[in-house]
Amino acid sequence: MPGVVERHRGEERFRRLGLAAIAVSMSFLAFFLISIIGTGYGAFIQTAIKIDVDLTLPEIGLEEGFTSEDLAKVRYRSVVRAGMRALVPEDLGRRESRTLYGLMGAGAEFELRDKVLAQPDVVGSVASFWLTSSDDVDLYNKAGSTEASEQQTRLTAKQIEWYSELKASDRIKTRFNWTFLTGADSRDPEVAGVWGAIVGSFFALGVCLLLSCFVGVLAAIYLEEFAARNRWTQFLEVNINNLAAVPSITFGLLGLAIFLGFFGLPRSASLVGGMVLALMTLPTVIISSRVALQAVAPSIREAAFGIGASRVQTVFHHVVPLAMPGILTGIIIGMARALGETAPLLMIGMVAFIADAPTGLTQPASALPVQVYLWADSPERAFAEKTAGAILVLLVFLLLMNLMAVILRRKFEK
Amino acid sequence: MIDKTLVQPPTVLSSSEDSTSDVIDLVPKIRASDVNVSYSGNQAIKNVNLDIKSKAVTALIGPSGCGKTTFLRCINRMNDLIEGCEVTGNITLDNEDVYGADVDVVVLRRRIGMVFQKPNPFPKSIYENVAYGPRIHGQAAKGDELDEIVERSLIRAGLWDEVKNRLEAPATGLSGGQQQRLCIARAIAVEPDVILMDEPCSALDPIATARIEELIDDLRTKYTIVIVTHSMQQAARVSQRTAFFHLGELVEENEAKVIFTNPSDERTRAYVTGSIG
Repeated sequence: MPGVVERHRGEERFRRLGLAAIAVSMSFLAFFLISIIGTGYGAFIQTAIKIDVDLTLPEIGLEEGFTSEDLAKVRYRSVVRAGMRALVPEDLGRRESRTLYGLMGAGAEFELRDKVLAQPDVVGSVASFWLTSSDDVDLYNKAGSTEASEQQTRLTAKQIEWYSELKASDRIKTRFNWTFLTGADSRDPEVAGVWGAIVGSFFALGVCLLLSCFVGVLAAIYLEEFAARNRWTQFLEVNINNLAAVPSITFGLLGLAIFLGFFGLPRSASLVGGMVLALMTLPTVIISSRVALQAVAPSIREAAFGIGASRVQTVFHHVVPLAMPGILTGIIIGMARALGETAPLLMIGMVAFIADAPTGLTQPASALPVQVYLWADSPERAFAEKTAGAILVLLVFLLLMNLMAVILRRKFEK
Repeated sequence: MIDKTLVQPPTVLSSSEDSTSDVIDLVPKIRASDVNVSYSGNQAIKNVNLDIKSKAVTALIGPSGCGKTTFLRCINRMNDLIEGCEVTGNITLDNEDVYGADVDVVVLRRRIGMVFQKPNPFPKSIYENVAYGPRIHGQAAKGDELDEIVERSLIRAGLWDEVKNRLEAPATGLSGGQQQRLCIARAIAVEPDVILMDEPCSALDPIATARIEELIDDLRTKYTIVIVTHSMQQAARVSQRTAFFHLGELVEENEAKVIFTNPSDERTRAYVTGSIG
């Protein structure tokens, strides 16, 4: 037959084009992941310096019979500095000393305090502690002494010399950076962490989930199963579809005007953040829930009506359970989108510098994507890897949510 | 309204009385007078007047699109669910207006069960399918009673022996014929007076069809059955009374024997002999 060869060729051509399209998108994804992981893994590793600190009583200004409160008040900054000076043989002037102290991280004194308080029996002796180095030492150490790192580093020649000596005497090591996962935002990269942002995001998402779940799913059920099909519902439908495509920052402006301006809710609070995100996710949830409800076979409705179930019984006993996988998928996809959203949160002030994890819905909070945005904007080079690290944390959460969507769908489809 | 139905020529009550050996109640179970149905302005059935006898099988036959299913769905008001569907005229069940203002559709549909063209069990267990109706209508106070109703309904639907050991198995795992019998069990579990069947065998193979037909024959001693069917053989086999619809009109209604052997209308004759359809 004449057309057959051409037809086969057409199919082969299409198959190749499809494969090429997949290859291109996969390579973009791979490039993205490799570059993010390549930069971000450094955020999970930190460099520590071992110093020997003199904790004998006269040295730290305590007397026999001290309480733990006294122990907390010790001037650990001087203790750390003394320990630093002991690392180098020569006597240093004021300025040189300050350069030396620059090797140690800004939070070292607090770190030491916490460690001493955790094991008070070290008091009275000379003890060794691993304390977090400054971000510059951290970067230099993780990069290795290549030509590029020599050029980029902010360490002075003297500091590099000290670093090499410490390295040679095994006083430098890298360890897992728990602070990154447990700390809140800070101006100092070595003590900055994502925990505050995670808690803020968690609160905001919780509020968003509650609102968009109830309001969105109920609106979808009403529109799909109860409302009459007329001009009014068509008008609503068009508007909901339009809202789904509105730029998210607009919802931020709306939240700013209504929740903050009119209702006077607190600025920067995760409560307002969640409400704004709920506004944004509502159209998505409504649309996907309606699609899921539409997909339920009409024969099921007929069966229920046929044996005398009322409309509410039909909907809630039969239609909604069958639509549940689709509704849940819609909700989780909406939530995932809300988790990654920055713009509306900027408008309601969640972009402020928050150095503590929030403990309530009305407290000032940050959110993960906002944290990424803030760090990406910071001048310190060490924040580059923190930014990538925060993106990795965000990706892990998104992955978990999508996994949950798959598991829930499997469960409900049984 | 009653007068109007009585003067209607094709349904001659007295003639059916003396010629049928089956006991047929004098008072019709369902009485439709001047029923018109339109879907968004398109008239689907015109001026249908039909009496349906109690405890008998009435078959509605006719070519596709003749309005027989539409008429069937008027009886239990399933047409209410269709957007733009308008029903005028009068339908009574035991002399009560089905479309009356004080009629609760839920109660009505409990009294008039329905079996659909395609088996449509709920995607739940076999037990749940049958138990759902009695449960929502509060017909069983205790679990034991419900078990009893489920068993009785399944026995009556001729399905008990096949499923008694797997009542918790999903209903969707049954064969098509079994599913349809399950749907019949589900319909009779709520103790209806009337069962409407909308081409219940059209999706089934001949063996499953034969079983359903047998079942319909058993059920007619207890229920009033109205069945829509495409198959004239089926109508002849299962029905005592047969109504022929054509282009939205009820052409003729009479004893099944009469319709298939000696119809009075030329169109009926043409349809049953196969020259139109």
